[in-house]
Amino acid sequence: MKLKPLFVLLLMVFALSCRKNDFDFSRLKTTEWNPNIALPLVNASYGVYDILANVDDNDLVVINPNTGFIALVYRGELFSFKPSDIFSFSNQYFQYQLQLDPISSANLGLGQNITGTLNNTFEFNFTDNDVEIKEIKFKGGTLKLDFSSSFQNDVNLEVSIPNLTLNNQPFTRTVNLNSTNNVYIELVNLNGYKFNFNPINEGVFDVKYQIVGNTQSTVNGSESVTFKLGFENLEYRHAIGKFGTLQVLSDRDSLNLRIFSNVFNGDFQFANPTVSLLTENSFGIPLELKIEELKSINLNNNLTTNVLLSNFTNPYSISSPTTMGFVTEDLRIIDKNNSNIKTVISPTPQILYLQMGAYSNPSMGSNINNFITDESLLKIDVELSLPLEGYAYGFYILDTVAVNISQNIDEIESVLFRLNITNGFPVDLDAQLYFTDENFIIIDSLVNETVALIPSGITNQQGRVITPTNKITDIVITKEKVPNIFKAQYIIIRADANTTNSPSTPPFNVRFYDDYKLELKLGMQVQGKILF
Amino acid sequence: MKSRFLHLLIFITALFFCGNINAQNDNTLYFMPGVAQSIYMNPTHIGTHKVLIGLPFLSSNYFYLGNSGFRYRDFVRRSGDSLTLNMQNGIDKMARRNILMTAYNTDLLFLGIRKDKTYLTLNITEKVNTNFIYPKGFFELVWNGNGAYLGERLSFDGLAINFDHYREYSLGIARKYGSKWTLGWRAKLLQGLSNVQTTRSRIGLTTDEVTFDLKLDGSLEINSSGLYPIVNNEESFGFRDYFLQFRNIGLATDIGVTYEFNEKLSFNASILDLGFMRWRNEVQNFIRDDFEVEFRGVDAEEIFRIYNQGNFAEWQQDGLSKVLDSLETIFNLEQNDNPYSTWLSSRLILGAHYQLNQSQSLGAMFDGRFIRGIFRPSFTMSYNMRFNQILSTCFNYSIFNRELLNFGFGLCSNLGFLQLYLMTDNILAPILPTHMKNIHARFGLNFVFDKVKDKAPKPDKNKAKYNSKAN
Repeated sequence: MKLKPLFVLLLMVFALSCRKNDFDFSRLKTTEWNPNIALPLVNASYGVYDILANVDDNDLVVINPNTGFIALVYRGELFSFKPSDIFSFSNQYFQYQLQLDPISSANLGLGQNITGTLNNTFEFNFTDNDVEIKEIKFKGGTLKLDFSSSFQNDVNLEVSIPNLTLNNQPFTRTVNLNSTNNVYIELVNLNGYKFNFNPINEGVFDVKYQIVGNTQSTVNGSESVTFKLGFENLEYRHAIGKFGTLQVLSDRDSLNLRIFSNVFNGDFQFANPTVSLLTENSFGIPLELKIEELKSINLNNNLTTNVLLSNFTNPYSISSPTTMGFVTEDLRIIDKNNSNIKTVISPTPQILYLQMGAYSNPSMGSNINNFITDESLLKIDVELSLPLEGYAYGFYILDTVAVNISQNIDEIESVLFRLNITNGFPVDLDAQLYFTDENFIIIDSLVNETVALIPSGITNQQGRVITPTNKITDIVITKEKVPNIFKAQYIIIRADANTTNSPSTPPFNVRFYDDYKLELKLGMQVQGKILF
Repeated sequence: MKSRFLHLLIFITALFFCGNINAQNDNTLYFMPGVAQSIYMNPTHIGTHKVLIGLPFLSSNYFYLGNSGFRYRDFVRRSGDSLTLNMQNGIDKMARRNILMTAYNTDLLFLGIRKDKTYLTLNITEKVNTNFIYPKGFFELVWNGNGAYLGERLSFDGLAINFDHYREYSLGIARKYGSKWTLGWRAKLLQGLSNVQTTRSRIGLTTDEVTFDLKLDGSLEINSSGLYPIVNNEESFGFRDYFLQFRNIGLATDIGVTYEFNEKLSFNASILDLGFMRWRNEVQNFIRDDFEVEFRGVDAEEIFRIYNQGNFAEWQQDGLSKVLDSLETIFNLEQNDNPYSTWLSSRLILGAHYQLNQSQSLGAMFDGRFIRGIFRPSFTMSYNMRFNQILSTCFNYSIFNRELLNFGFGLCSNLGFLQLYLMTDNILAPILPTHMKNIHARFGLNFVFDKVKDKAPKPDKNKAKYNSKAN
């Protein structure tokens, strides 16, 4: 009897226990899992340099080491023609035949000497008739000597060109010809030879011939010696003379102002933009430079704005070096005081176009000797400097990035993006993201209206930020929005910016310094809903 | 003298706190003195036979599976014909730190010899113990996400895996002094075979409530011995080398005292497994000192790079790779092969026994111990009945492992020279597995010879008086 309750208890326990189904997971109901995941996405600190250098790392961000004030500099280069394009030689050939008659062949008998000396004058032909060359030093080319004799006797021929020297020694050649070896050919490397032309007749030079021989056989009087001189493939190291009026430069360049690449609208004023033209001239020729065209182009609206010079001399002369190997420099600055450059930059152009020409010897009639070396160059560095001082308002930047977010969006209930921005720039920032399909048709936007992301840092009267501002913005993307965002193929980013207190009258200029920082932290909190 | 006592007290207390594994429960065994192996729970137990012999794998086998954190049904419940998963309920049931334990012990040899009031024992026991300490925070993170704990440090402190395999060679003596006191002592030589010990484990994840920045902090130290050739599947590994090597040696002791307050009531106090192991063989220690790694998102340079490439899909991979890089940094553990020590999980046993009559008794026991700083007490009450010289039983109820539903049962039968016994601390485990946190069984077969006859119980004086008056 005492065991009866125990027996009943055991029966109950067994009744409760025989449930293999408790481990049959195929009977498990769908369960909802709602994890909440919070992640940091971006932790970025941007200085002025970081942003500008990223916009175009080919451009130069110049920081004043004393003040930290920043200027953005765009540079280009214009070059002169090559020296060989300005002045060059064609091959030059000269020939002279020396006959016996003038040497009094009637008096020659067997065993008598044959002697004769003659001078001749030749003249180089230059490609440009205005060019008068007094001296050329060669770095390349050949002098081809081609002598032949019809004498049946041994003769010694000597040719000398007093104007052609190597280490101040005139060029001379003596050769022996006879009845069997009656032709002499030699190619002389002219590297290092200097040609001093007759100072009265530029391009004219003298040649002296001498013949010495002995009559071992009969001389009939018809014999002769032929001298041929050929100057071929001439290259000069330098040339001195009068080159006349030559166009030594006609070049153009376009500066790509990438800071405005994605700017689509607005008023943008730099307080003190400048265009600098730095010329380096190693031609020994006085030059005159002319700005033939200087203009800005906004590619978005095809607006072209010409630079109008007021107190700027155009064309203008630059000096030349008086010694070979030296370079003269010349700097001209186009700024708000001598042009409308502020107006030219204001339309946020993407291109600054410049075309210049240069001419030699602008004051003809002078007796100044010019020189050109094989390394002579006229180079003009063009530099657009945009000191970051000014104001801007109403402008916005658009950019498009491709996205491919292949996530299972059914499992996302909502997404919260938290922007935590500390703004040390004197710029109010707003932003909007547009989500588009593959045809760039907007299917949704991040928020209904442009989000006021962050106000400008607080500035002093000089436009310098003295206190950064901080703002936290939560953007909640509800479940209804999630599909549109996740099926987007592109995101169009629009960022609106105004410098602080803009627009205002009078305009309030702000200044950018290298210690400005924009600290951006972006976090994401996802509420999931996963059924399994 | 006072100072020495204080030092000893501090040392013993430290052992309790440092205790590692060997965290087995054996509550029913305590109340079954007829089973010779009861000396494992009470070293003052004196056997009932003059000679007892236990053979390998027969005399005693012990299994234990316990989970302090949750029951199966805390997560999965029946709902009609279906099952419902309720993760949050299961997590809510957990303590801050929880232990999943398994243990298997088997006697390779047991010998007991009784001479008058003295009982000598010798045993060689193979012991394999594992415990996995898991923090509640780990489940909270997985189920609720870190976003549910902004600004809090999600703690995985104490996350640990501990394992050891050792052989215990023990000599024991229990002796009764006078009519009141019985003292017991067991000296153990421990032969360590393999071990894993998480010495230090402190890991926490904090999500900044404003920026969602993630900060992972902590430190880690894991020691191991004897497992390198096995884990690395080295050809040089040999079972002989593993089971017979004596490079890892430990010493331990059990001491106990029983005081018989009167003929019916007695008290017992024991300290078990007071000892340590020194691990020298094939040691590999993995250490990561204090670290603090923060992930704050992709930096400016990366943003520009991704932006200029125009493909934000890379952002995800980039962010992920940064996190993985950070994790790689964290788990770039230093290694050394310095010998190390582990402490056994020492236990304090306090028990009382009340003899109702010649065949029935009541008992109570408190078992307190620390496992890696977690105090794990248990309390057991028992009712013991001996039907005759052949059969004795024990019914008990325990509270342990944060579980109230532990009904134990033990049975011991002496059939001639065979002593068969079977016991469990939780008889409901096979019946209601979904409700249980503990599964336990001990069973075995001893060869017993020459039973010591019990003294005839003294006549009940009160009963005699009553009877005489009645007469």
